[in-house]
Amino acid sequence: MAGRPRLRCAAGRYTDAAAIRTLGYGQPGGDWKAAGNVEAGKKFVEWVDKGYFTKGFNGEGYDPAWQSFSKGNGLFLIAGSWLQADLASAMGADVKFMLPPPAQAGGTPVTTGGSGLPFAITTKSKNPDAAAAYINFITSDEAMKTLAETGNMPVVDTAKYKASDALGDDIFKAFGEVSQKDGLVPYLDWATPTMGDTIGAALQDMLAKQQTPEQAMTTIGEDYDAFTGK
Amino acid sequence: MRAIRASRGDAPAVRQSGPPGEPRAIGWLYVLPAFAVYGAFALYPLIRAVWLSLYDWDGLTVGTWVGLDNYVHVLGDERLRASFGHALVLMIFFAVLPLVIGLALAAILNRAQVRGLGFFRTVVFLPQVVAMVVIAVAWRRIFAPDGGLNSLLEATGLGGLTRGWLGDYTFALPAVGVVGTWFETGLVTVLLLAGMSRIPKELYEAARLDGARLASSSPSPCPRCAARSPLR
Repeated sequence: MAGRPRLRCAAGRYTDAAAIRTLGYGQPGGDWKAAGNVEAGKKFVEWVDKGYFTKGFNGEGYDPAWQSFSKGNGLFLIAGSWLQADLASAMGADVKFMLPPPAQAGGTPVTTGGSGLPFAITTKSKNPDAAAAYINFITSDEAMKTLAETGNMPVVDTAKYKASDALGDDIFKAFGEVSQKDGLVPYLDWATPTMGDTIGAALQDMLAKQQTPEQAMTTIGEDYDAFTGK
Repeated sequence: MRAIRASRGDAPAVRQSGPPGEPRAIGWLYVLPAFAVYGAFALYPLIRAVWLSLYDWDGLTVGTWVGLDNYVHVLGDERLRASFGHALVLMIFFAVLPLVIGLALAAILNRAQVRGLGFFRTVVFLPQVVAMVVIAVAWRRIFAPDGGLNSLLEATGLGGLTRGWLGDYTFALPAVGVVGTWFETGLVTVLLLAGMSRIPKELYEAARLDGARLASSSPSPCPRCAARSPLR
């Protein structure tokens, strides 16, 4: 495994989708210190202890990680659909895509997906219609077709489109499954304006054993609480 | 016409006003173009930044006046204080070490009869010519977990020292610092060399006659001359 590992791929095994959504969307009422989150953190630290991650993973850059993976180093790469085109062209049929397996076989797969990337039109916009037209444009049938053809995943009517490669077929299928079973959850760093830094640093600290999973969740929780408590 | 004749008449020209020797007001006019640019792109943003620092402002909505509150936060936040400490460490790597190494290198290049001095000078100065982004990419590859530095350590039997340098809690900061030292040493060396080359030989001779040994007469009998001359 390579790259900065992501808590979210483990979180779905210990916490249900609704609770993760509350945390990810920065809505009040979530609890970072809940047992499930700490368990997910512990599982990650366990993977470090077992040597599942690349040696020196905290010092590995994102691009070098998948480039190294594409050359046959490592068994799993925790990443996402955005690497489809690059990995498919580098590895051809030697790469497959799978969702993080659910806690019980046949259960709901819970994983992160950015289909709800927010586009906002401010009330002060001088040309709100033009902005709206742009949003229509990037979600149009033609845009989805272009995405599918260029090795990306169209989020609207995914099943209607044919992927440009076998890896894409896996991804489209997985997205269909996770959407239908309602297991798609937001990125946890969307929660607050500072969460990207907070969660990244806390998880690096946790994986380098500078913080225990409990401490890391407390650090992340403080950011979340300060924002939602406003 | 009369004015011209008048001014021709009383040559050499006498100033219209102000005591002799005092700077004339017209000096401000000469300064104006540069000052306008400097003011618009350096002074104004600086003052504006200080002004903004007194507000709680997210960059979009209306800010609220908080006085010195932001500064209290900066000083009170342990992580922000730590980042100031890191900046100080980087200053040692970016300024103090290059000066020490540069002085030694310049002394050697200046005194020793090195064949191909120009070549060594070029090599030492080379980092300055390379674009910053290229330096960053190259050093990232050197420091990567499977990068050049770790390969070198393994090849020399020091495999136990390998690590993800930029993700290491002890070595990430010095690793970045080393890049700065490597980058700045060349510039310092060349500047000091230029300075030393203008120090008269007699000073060295005099120093030696006075009993100065290699260690004390090196790098130069007059460090301040070395530092000052390139700036002249």
